Amino acid sequence: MNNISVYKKLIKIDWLLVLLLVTLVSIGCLALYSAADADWNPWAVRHFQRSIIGFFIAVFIALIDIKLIYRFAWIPLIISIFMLLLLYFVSDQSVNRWLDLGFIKLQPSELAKISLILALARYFHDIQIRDYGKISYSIVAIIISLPVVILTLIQPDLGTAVMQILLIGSLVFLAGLRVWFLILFFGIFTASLPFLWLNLHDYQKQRILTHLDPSTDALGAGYHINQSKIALGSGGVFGKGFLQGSQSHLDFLPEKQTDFIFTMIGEEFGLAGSLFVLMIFVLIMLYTYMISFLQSSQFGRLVCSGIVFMLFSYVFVNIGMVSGMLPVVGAPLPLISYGGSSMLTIFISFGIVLSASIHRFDKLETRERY
Amino acid sequence: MKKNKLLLEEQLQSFSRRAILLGGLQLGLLGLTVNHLYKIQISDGKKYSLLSDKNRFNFSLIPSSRGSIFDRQGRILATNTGTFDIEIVPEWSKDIQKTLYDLSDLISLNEDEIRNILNLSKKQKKFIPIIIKGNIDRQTISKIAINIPHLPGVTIQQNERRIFPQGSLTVHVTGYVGKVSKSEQKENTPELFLPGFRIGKSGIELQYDKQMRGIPGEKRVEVNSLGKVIRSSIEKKIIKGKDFQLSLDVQLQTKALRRLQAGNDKLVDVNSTQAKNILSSNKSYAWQLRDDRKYINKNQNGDIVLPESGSVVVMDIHSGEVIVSASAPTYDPNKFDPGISASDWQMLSNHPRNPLINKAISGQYPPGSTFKMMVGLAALEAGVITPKTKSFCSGHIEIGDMKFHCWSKQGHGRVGLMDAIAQSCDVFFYEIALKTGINNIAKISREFGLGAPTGINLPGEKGGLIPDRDWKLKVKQKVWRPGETIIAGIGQGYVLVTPIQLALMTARIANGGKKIIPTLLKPSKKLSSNISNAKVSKTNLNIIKKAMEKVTLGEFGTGRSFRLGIRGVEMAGKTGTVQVRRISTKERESTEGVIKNEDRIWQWRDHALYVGYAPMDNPKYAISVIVEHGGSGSSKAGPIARDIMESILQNDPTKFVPKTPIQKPMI
Repeated sequence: MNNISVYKKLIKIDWLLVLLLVTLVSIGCLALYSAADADWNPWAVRHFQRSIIGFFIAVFIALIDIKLIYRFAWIPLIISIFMLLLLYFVSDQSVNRWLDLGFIKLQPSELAKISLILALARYFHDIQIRDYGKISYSIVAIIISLPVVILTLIQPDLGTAVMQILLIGSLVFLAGLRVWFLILFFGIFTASLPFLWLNLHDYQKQRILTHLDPSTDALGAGYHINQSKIALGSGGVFGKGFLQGSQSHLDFLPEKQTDFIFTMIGEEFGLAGSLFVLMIFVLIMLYTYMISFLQSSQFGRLVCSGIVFMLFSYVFVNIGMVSGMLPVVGAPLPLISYGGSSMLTIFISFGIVLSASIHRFDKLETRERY
Repeated sequence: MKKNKLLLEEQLQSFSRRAILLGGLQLGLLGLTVNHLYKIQISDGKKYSLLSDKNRFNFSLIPSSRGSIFDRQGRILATNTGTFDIEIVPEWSKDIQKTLYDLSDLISLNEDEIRNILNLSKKQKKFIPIIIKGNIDRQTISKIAINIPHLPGVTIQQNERRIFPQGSLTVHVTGYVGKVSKSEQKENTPELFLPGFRIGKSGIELQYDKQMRGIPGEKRVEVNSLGKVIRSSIEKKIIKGKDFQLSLDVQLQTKALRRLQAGNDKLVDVNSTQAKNILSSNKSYAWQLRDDRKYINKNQNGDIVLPESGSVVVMDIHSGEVIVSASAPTYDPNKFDPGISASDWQMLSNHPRNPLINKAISGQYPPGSTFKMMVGLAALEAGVITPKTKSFCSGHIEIGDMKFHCWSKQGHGRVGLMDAIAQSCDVFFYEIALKTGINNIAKISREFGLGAPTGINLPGEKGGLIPDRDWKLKVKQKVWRPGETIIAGIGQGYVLVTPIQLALMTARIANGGKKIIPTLLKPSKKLSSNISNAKVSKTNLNIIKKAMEKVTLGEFGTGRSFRLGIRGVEMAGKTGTVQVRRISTKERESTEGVIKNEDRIWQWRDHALYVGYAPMDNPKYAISVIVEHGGSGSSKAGPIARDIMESILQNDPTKFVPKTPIQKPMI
């Protein structure tokens, strides 16, 4: 199995999964075309170009042996922490999430998510089977992840940090954590909320307060949510039609090319459109879960299900936010929203999923030093 | 190894359990999301659709163009003109004060005006535009337009403004327009809330306001989140306001007004040295001349005096169309839009000669001797006299313990009805009035349009007053006394009439008692054949007409000195001189006699009146002239009426030819 040719590997790629991803990218391109008032520029074209690059990155990763990914699973985390630190020291603004590498602007906290998944999957994989569920290991896992979370939190990027915490939680849970510890974990999380609140920036507090009652500040922070709900709601069953979204095209909708792109789709294609997009995501998640179940290694299983959870958290937080269910935290809709970092994260992630799928029967040697 | 394999199995099972659990949780949360989306997009879809449309569309009214007013020849009396106004929207200007100071380099803006705008901007909502200056000329506008980028918040707005090309000539008929007051905004018409909307405040502008306004259109404007207009569509077309053509003839109106104001005075050009000296030394006089006359009055003594005030009404006796309706002094309605200054308003409203009042319909005066036709007719109708009944006038008569004087100290000797009217003998009418009784006189007067508003289509008409016994009892709570009938016999005492009523009375006498109603519209409603007739005998009416003819033609007629200068055409009429103050016995018996009219202060002088119709043998026009405190009817009002009637007859399509070339008046 180890030495199958690249050609054979290409054939073995889960092209159905790729097709689903391509569908999302296509929806994204069309939505961005609409967001730019029927213009492929400036967003749709770049979105397409990025997705091509992303596609090749994914296929490239898919061809890499899962053993190699396993062996170097710590590296991305170290790079992520390094980039976050760099951002911390380089940044001179109060809010800085982007690291300008010259040729690309990256959001290290996004890339950190997949790094966390890889690192934690590797960590839990390496634990002696009988030690599964031991609390000390879970605590170690949390400590491993802590630098990323803290560095993300002080950017500050509360939304991503919360998503990272939930991701860590889900991985720890999947790895076999005792249920009572899980309760404790969320207990601590809840207890730390007041502390978190005190350390929030004013705009973050405002966002959360606004979420609790959007109508209090119709032209301020609540404006976005209200306008987004109006746009979604006025879409009805089948929407106002492609390019006909009055809320979006008359600029009542903020950030319609990034975080609020789902709203625009909902306005122009109605509930049917919203559900179609959601359905694609669900299909991808189910498919990935299936791949996860077929894995012969714990590493592969955790990586794949971790990626499902990551994708889920993106989708849930984004749609929850634009429909007024959750606070405005700034989460993109993967592969549809305009933005390089989340797209890169998703393509890298699904490159790993594809690789895991191709190499699903590979046995990974557990290092016995634990 | 086996144990290890078992553990691996266990590990897979544990993972599967937990993965399914986590997957279930995820599906559950996504289910919640779907439910939420369903609620927003389907359950509340209608609500959000409405909100979306509200976001998207602004409905705005397009004010319709106000209807114009024309005279009977189609000359414009009131219309609209486009003007450029400069406005500022405080919201769009970071520093209004700075913007205004910058703007003051381009247009004249003084500190006060800037302060007013700043105050206003603090009081009202920031997005409501404030007019900085209205009616800006094109050159200045283009200068401002170039600099607009440096004047944040300043906008150029094209608005409509009401103009009255005839200035002060017809203002009392056309009226004027003004801003909508708070109380008027209660009406359920949205256009009244538009800034800059004008409604009729008086005259025809008020009478036919609703029709002249038209119906505003509606514009649906699609706006983006910044309020910028993306596109607009007309939802409802405007219906233009209705035009009105009046029966008035501006040319004749001008002639009448100027002739009335000239009186018997000499006219001096305002640009002459004498006039300039007077105007610079007498501010009040200078102001009162602001009705755009080019002349000032100089009386026989060479003194500069104010122009005469009063009213002239000319009416078609068959249709009731009012051809001239002049009221002096007058004012320029163009000053009311965009707004009249407080000091100008003070001057206008406190002016002793009441320029704001349309004296033709709202000025109430005792009719004096012009009332004698009514008294005579009432006496004939009541049968208390015949045309042959004679009476002796010794210059006064004593009834009871009261002494009543004739205007002629020496008396008229033996006079009958005809001569009493022709020479305006008071004593004759004292006697017949007493015999006829006030109620009979009142009844006939009312038949001829006195004592109640005539129903002319203008707001603010007064009814005058024709007293009778019931009225006295009701209003004064006193019994009618015979002495009051006596002075009513010469149109004094309680009796009050308006100039339009006098013209109507004369018209109804001239047309044989047809009860026409005066109107200012042309074409007036089709002459209905069922115009009722006054309940008087034709014979008696003809006697009165003959008497009025004798006023002009009789040897001692009070109108003999001002006959028409047109071949074969004469004017029948009646003069009137109304005493304003009571002449005491002491004054009457003093060596100097009654103080001469010219020597009294203006307010105490007699009113001069004349009513008449022409041509005498085939009447067509009726005229009433009243010169307030103008002296005697025969010396002041009569000649004015003659000159005006001459112009009217010459203007008539049937062409009355002048006897000699008529002297062109100076006006």
